[in-house]
Parts: sequence; C-alpha cells; structure tokens
Amino acid sequence: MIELRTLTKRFAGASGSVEALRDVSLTVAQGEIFGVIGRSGAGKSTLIRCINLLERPTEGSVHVGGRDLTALSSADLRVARRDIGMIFQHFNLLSSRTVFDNVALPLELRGESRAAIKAKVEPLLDLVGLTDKADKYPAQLSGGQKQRVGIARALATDPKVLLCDEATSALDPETTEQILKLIKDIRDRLNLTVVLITHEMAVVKEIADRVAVMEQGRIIEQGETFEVFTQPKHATTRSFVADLIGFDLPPALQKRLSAQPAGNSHLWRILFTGPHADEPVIAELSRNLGLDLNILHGRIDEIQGRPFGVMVVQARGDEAKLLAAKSYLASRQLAVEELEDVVAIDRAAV
Amino acid sequence: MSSQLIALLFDGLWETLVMVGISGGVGALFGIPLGVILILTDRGGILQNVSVNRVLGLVINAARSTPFIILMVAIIPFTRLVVGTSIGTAAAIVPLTIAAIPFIARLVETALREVPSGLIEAADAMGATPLQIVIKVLLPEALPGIVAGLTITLVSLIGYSAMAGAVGGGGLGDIGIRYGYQRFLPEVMGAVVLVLIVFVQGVQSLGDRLVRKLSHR
Repeated sequence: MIELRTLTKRFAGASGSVEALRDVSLTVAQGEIFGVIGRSGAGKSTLIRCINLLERPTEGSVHVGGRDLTALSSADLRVARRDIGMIFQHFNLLSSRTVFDNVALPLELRGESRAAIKAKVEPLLDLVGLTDKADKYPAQLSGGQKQRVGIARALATDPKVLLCDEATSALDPETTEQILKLIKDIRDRLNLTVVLITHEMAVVKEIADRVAVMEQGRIIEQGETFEVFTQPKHATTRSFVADLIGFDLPPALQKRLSAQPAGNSHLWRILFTGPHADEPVIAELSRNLGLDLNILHGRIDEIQGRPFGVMVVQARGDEAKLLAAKSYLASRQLAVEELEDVVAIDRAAV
Repeated sequence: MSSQLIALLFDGLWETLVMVGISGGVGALFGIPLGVILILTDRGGILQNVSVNRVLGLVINAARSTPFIILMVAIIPFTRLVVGTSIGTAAAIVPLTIAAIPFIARLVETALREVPSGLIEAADAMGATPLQIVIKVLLPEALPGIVAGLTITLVSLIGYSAMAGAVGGGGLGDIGIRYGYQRFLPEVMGAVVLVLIVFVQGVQSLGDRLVRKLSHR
C-alpha cells in the first residue's frame, strides 16, 4: 500500500545541510499497522510527513496505492491526499468551528453538498463516540475527545491510509490506550493501512503489527514487532525494550551484587519469549532439580498480545544441577544469559 | 447648551461617522487582502515569494511612516482624480482610506500570524488549495484578531479625522479646532471632547464584545 524508496531528506541548516532522512526504504502492506519508533530528532516526523508529501524528499520516491506521489502535479497531489488521512500530536482542530464543522471541513474542501456532509459526518461522530458533542467547540473538549474529532475528520474522505503523527504523545496513559484501541478498531473495521510514529514503546507494543526503529535518519531495524523487541539487535532497540521491561539490573541491585563475594552462585538472566513463556519454569526448576533459585528482578509484559519478559535469578547448586537447569531452559526455548561476568567486572572496578 | 451647538455637534458627529466608516470599510477591503498576501508570501508561507513580500512590506512601511497631515496634502492630485474635488468630507475620505490600508494590512498580518501553523498543515494534508486555506482556515481562525485590529483602526481613524479640517473635511475634530480653539469657545471644545470620548468608548466596547463573541479559543 505504501512504499518508500530510498528516501533522503536534507534541510538547509545554519551550519550546512542537515540530513533528516538517509536512504530510508520501507513497505507497508494493506491493512497493516506499522509503527515507527525513535528518540526525538531521529527523523521519524520527517518520515511520516514524506508519505503525504507535506515534506518533499530530496531524493527517492513515495508510492501510495501504487501511485508515485512524487511525480504528481500539485493539483493531482491534492486529490491524492484525500486518500491519506492524518492525525496530529496537537490535534490541529479549527478553534472557530464546532466539532461537527471540523469533521465536515475535508468534505467542504471537496465541494460536497450540505446534505451529503451531514450524512457523512453524523455516522463518523457516532463511530468516535462524540455524537452529543457535535455543537461544542474544541476548546470545550478534553485532549482525548479532541483526538477523536481529529480521527473522525481524518476519516471523512474515506481514506485508505491513516497517518498518526505522535497522535497520543499529548495524552495521558489511560486516554492513550483508548485512542489506540479506537485506531485498531477502525483499522479492523475499514481495513485501513495505518502508519504511526511515536517515541513511546508502550504505543508500539500495543498496536503495531510491524515496527521500524529509527536513529539519526536511518532505519536501524525493522520487522514484526514481537521479533524486533524480543530479539533486539541494535543498542537503541534494546534501550526501547528496556523502557518497557527493564532489561538491565536496577543500579541498587547491581551495587549490592558487586559487594558480594564471588561464590558458587550464578546470576542468570532468563528471557521469556516463545511458546513456553507462560509456563511455570521457575517452579519446575526448583522442584524437579532441587535448585535454589532466588528471583532478584523481573518483569513480564505483552507485545502484540504475546507474553514477553525478563527475569534475573540467582541460582545456587552444584555444577551438574546448574547444567541440567540450563538444558531444561533451553528445551523450553528460553534464552539464558550469565550475568556473573557483568557483576565481576563491576566488582573489579570497585 | 444651545440648540445651535447641539445641531453643530450632530453634524460633526455625522461627518466623522461618514469619514471613519467609509475609510475604515474601504481600508479593510484593501487592507485585509494585503495582510493575507503578506502572510502567504512570507518566508515559510504557503506561497512563499520573498521579493513580492519585501516590496509590499516596503511600500506599506513607507505609507505608514508618512505623517497623516503631510499625506493628506501630498496626495491632493490623486484625491481630485478620485472624487473630483480636493476639499470637503469626500476629499478627506481619500487620504484617510490611504492611511487606513497599510495600518489594517499590518494588523491583519499580525492576527494571521497567530493562527497555529499546524492548522495550515492539517488543511494542506486534506488537499486544500491555497485559496481554500485562506478562506476556510486562515481568515475564520484569525477573525477575532482581525476584528480587534479593525477596532483599533477605527479609533485611530477618529483621531486622524480631526485633521481633515485642513481640507475642509468637517467632523467633530474640525469643530473643536475652529470653534473651540480658534474662536476661544471652551464649552464647544469641552463638548466635542466629551462626544469623542463617548464615541470612542462605544466603538471600543462594541469591538470588544464582538471579539468575545467570535472567539472560541
């Protein structure tokens, strides 16, 4: 549905030109929710604005619905943009228009009749649950309600694509969840293709089918959301996962462990992914192998509805038992990492 | 207060109303589009054209820096061309309008600048033409600011219109100068000032009320 081919975007800055996008290519399939995550300044905002050419790429081409938007005349581009709805971080609603008239705006621009507009806007307000607010002005609405108006407005021209530019970044976590649920719901109902950019891991893990991680204008990793975040290859991706589940040992714990003498205990970090992630493996280890396990730190979350977590345990027992435990974990397809080295390095430094 | 004085004040008020009303109206007719052009052609505007913007800005600044009394005399040939005479109320309206246009253009420009750029971007993303952006987004969103600007313009024009006496334009200010100042009639001067205060007060509070009604921020 969307295909970006080797996009490069250079901005003329005070100290020479700045490359906001460097050789970015990606494909988004019909009906997919594609997330782009990155820290601020990574280029994700420029990327999403290249999809409807609010920002024109310096090099490369943008294809939406099989058409090369970069080759269109400005009149044709305006028509093509009706197939691409967009919602914004700060909603960008017209303060002088009521909720109804805000949603009606794209239809007015297209020259629809008053009756046609009414027939289109009312079901949309119903869809986003704002029928009773039709005559209110944006200033009278909460942030979540404003974004609902934004969504209804973006859907008014029956677009095939919905672009979400940090659409939940100005909202509190609870409202964020409601808006994400609404977006997902709309995607399921209308088979929309959704591209969303965010700096929040929570947003991506909630609704993105696939994800691209951006840094310094480049896509450093992309793929299925679950795969990208359970097997992060890049340090930045890892840090996003850490935001979510705390990969690394908390500083206080690390300090305490460093202070302990190296003994016959082992520090393991177990990654819970895959089909056996929700089995009681820790209980089985201690019961069946008689291993002494002390859970130090852990967190289980869900990415795309699949459990994913990390647990740091201190295991005490003889070598044979430890080996048996490791092979048991391997048989359950759970990755185990020895953390003893990390602590030992710290210990040496102290 | 003699009935003669009352009749005089009424005539003056009427002439002032005519001068200020017409010059304000025609000024807005030209000033608002100029303000829009200033915004559109500005750096980063949707129809960016730096040279048009710069030339227009220069002309507007030049017009605004000319003292009104000089402007009035300087454009007498033009005034005669437009209204056929260089004296009287009609003749005063021409320079008042010329003075109002750049004033309004700048105030409108300022009001339009207050419209968040995100709104223009949103309209752009919907496939709006530049004209649609102006009519459907920029002007309605800036309307309270534009009305506030026009109110300031009207009050300033009331002040300017006092100088219209120099070309026989009449109006309250002219009465104040001729009767009150030149003929040493302090009670006429006082009455003129009083009427002007009430008049300006009325215009300002009407403008304020309109702004409040229009603003939904």
